[in-house]
Amino acid sequence: MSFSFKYKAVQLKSGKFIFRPMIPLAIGEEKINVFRILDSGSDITIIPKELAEVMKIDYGSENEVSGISGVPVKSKEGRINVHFGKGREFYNFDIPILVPEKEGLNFIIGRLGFFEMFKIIFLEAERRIEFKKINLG
Amino acid sequence: MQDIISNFESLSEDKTSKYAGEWVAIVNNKIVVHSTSFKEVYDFIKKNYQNEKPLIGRLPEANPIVLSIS
Repeated sequence: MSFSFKYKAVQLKSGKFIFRPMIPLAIGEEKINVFRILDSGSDITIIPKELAEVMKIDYGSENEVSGISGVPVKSKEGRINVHFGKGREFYNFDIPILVPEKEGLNFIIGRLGFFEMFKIIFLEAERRIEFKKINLG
Repeated sequence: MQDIISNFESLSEDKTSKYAGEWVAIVNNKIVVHSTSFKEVYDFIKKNYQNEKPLIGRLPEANPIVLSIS
């Protein structure tokens, strides 16, 4: 069993189109429906501070996150529940997150906790992402 | 849970381009509010769509995105 999502097209300021792997999922106890880029280059999921403030999150220790600027930003570690799937296939699992202290940072679905759950294929030529659940035994 | 999929699939290229860089909320396949402020979007849907399950997200900027250029 597997399911997939088509990439989302965005017209760049240059006029060219770019296609991005975005996914919908429900997060937190509140099951807030959100969408964001699935980023295989990011170690962990980043929840923007402003979104985290409306969610109940059990925070752990403090950490730092580095982004495109290379400048580390202080962040809090936490965990959230994720409800993700499509059609007849939906799965519930927890993932670790970082919430940066600074507002305005991007919301990214990173690898830790999420990529272990599925075999994920970025079908760039077909402009879609395919997910197949991994049975962890 | 089909609302979330339907709302997500309604996000067409004209919307992702028009509202690039902004937070949006989608209800019944329509963008009902958009803003650069998450709080404005969240307060609006809490006030006007209490019984709905809007799909919320920040659309990526209309520039190429890379992890690192150094």
